[in-house]
Amino acid sequence: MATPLRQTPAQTADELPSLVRRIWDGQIDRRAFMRRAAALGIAPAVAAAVFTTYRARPAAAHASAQAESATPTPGGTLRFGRGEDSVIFDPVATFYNADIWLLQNVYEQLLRVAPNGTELQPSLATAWERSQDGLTYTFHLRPGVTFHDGSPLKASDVKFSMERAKNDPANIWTFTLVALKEVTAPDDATVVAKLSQPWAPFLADIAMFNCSVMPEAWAKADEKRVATDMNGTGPFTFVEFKKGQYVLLKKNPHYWDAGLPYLDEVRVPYVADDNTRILQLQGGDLDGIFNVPTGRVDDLAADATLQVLQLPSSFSQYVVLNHKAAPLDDVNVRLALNYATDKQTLIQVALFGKGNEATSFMPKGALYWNDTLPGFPYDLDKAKQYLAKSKVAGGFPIEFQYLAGNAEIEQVATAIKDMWSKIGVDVTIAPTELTTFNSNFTDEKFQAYCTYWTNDIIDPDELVAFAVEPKTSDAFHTGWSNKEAVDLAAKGRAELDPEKRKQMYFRIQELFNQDAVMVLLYNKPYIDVLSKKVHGFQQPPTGQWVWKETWIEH
Amino acid sequence: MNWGRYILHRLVQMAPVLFGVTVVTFMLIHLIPGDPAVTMLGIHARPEALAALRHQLGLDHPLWQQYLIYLSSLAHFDLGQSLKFNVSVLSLLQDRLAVSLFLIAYAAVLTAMVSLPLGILAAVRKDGPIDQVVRALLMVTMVMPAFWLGILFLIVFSLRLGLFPISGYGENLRDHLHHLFLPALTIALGIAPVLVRSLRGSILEALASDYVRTARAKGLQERMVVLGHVLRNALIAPVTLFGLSVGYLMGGTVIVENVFSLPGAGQLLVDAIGARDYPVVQSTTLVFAALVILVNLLTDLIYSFLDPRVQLG
Repeated sequence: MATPLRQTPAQTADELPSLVRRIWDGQIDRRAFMRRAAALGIAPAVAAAVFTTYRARPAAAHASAQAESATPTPGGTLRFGRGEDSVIFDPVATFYNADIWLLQNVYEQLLRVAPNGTELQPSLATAWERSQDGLTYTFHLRPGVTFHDGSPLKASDVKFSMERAKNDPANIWTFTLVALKEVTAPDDATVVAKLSQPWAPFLADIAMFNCSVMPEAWAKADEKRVATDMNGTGPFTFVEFKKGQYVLLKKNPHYWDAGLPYLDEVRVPYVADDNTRILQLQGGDLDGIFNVPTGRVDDLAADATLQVLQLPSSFSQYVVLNHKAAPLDDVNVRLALNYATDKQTLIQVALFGKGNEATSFMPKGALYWNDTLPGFPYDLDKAKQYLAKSKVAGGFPIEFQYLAGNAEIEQVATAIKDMWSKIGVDVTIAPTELTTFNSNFTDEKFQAYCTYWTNDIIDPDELVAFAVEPKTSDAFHTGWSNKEAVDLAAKGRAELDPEKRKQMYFRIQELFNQDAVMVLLYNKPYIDVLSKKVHGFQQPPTGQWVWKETWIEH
Repeated sequence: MNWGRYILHRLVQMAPVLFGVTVVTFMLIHLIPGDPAVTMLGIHARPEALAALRHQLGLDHPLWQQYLIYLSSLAHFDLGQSLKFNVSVLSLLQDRLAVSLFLIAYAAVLTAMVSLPLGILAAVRKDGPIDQVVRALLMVTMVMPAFWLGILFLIVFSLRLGLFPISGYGENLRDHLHHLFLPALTIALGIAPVLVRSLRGSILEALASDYVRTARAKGLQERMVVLGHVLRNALIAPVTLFGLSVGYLMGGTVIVENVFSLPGAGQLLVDAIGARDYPVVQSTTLVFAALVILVNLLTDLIYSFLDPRVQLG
């Protein structure tokens, strides 16, 4: 450093931040800053770089504040970073959120989920009717829709796509369509679906990604291409997928919703490391990131160029208990664990306050979520009383499995170890690597297992089936079996009267809590952080990224 | 033995080593718990679907049979198909290996550029302030984990000072050099301290030898003594260390690629292990092992160049 030091390093350290703030606030010009920097003994090149770095920010923040109420400006590229790479684009075969949430910008279904996550809206079907007996649905297709390859949308394409979703052996989602008996296309603009029994969640089911409509001729010409290529009717066309790097989508200029989308391109880079993803956003290499660790939210919210979105989600965190492993077969033990878990503290410790206590296995705010249940508010005395009624009144050892490498769940596990020790339960925490973790769940090799659920459809049937059916999922792999709940689940999906359905699902949630099937922890929002220049981004509780109405100031 | 025959001889010797690598990698990745089928179909998949997929992927064969199938495809220069992406491993590796190799070579050059002058300086100014500062500083960079040092570099040099890009790999050579400077430096600073210490030690040893006294006695400038006589003799030990560090360099890229979000082979390997993508893990490890062996061969060749007394063979 050539400039003589006129001040001590301590003084430099004191004054530099305030100088930077003054650049940020536009209170100091370049010449004045360089003069002060020189006096502090900072090399001119470094000072110049500091000035350039900070000067750009207030200008951008200012522009976004001004444009908050402005009309959308078309054009530009949205760069949306994520920590998981794409794998496979076949809508009937994928179960990766990284794919599912993306492909719904390229593919569309007959109906779509409204941003509030509890209603359905017309998409490729503009109208539909249900027969009196609830067994026949007639859909009228939107006229003038073309696929990205230029071919017109026909009823036969919808028939092909729905049959593929129901019958493809690679499809793990066929269970959503078990009631679908037959699809016919009486003419090019009409699709008729016949069911084997009244099926209340039917419309919600066909709004799911696996019923994405693709051209029959295109898919049949080369069946393998469906995994690596996409050809839908959506607002964006698929350009390329560079594995380990990015997915690139381009505006569909012939989109049926005139004037949309606004963006020319959406680029979705894969940035594995959380910190790097945040740095890239702060440095302006990304315009948005999702699933931001809750611990970083306040820090990012303080950045004048960024906006933090906390959107209602269907994310629920649970501790699944294996009822086949004694003493967890005893409802008193399970009740004791529920009451011994201080959910509010977990939310503070692991989520930095960004969440709410779960009182039902269904996510708060979901369709037919039982708002009358008290849940299991933290009560150490009650917990001790229940445990005293069991055979293990003095406590017992238990292994607590969770996914390794996730800071949030690590906090949960550590806190629970402490909480449960207060009733004499000795927790061994077992961080487990992803693939082993998944296998242990399906093989039911666990005692307590910390996991989560997100809904793919707006109807509760998907989650309820998974949570109560002993046959297919062993009731969320707990081993719980309750005849009333199973019967109600079957009746619920056949009942078409919403009020009666509501009562059934309310009762199922009540039964679930009575038996304290799992330890309910919390619901948390989707946390997306975007540049303030980005507007109109949506993510409904079912998770998909909706870029159709997104636009960027430029 | 001439160079051509020597190299051929060494290449033939590679075969059993690589065979050993295939055995160990295959066993290790198959022995750790976790099922690729569950990774591919998800935890809500039905048992029938899982069984069908295992059959389709050939995972229901006995382990030894699966190994033989793998070996026979290797013999046909076929690295297999990725289970996760359903494309050939070769196509996945091609682009990514280029990134990793560039990064490793760049890191090697930076390591040399950092270690040589600092090592010489520290030895020539033994126990002086420069020596102390160099040794203390390098000790600090050595103990800093790469993922942390990388983030620190990104925050200071990219985000705050804007001197380097935060992401990307660049389009041409100049771009690559600019984009990969911080990642390469992160790796280099992990290895340089060891080399500097070794170089310093051997230079000090050489400086005390008779031929240096002779050189000084015949009136050579100190600069010529060090660069012309001492350095060449003193380089043998650091070169050995450097050759051995190549394995570490490759390990380093795995973490550094992750932090700097570079589409390299290291990141591919980490993701593949997570997904139990057996063919990708096996082939990537094999390629890395082959590279380490080749670099060691190169190291041996450099010996005989530095010191003609070292006999090849």
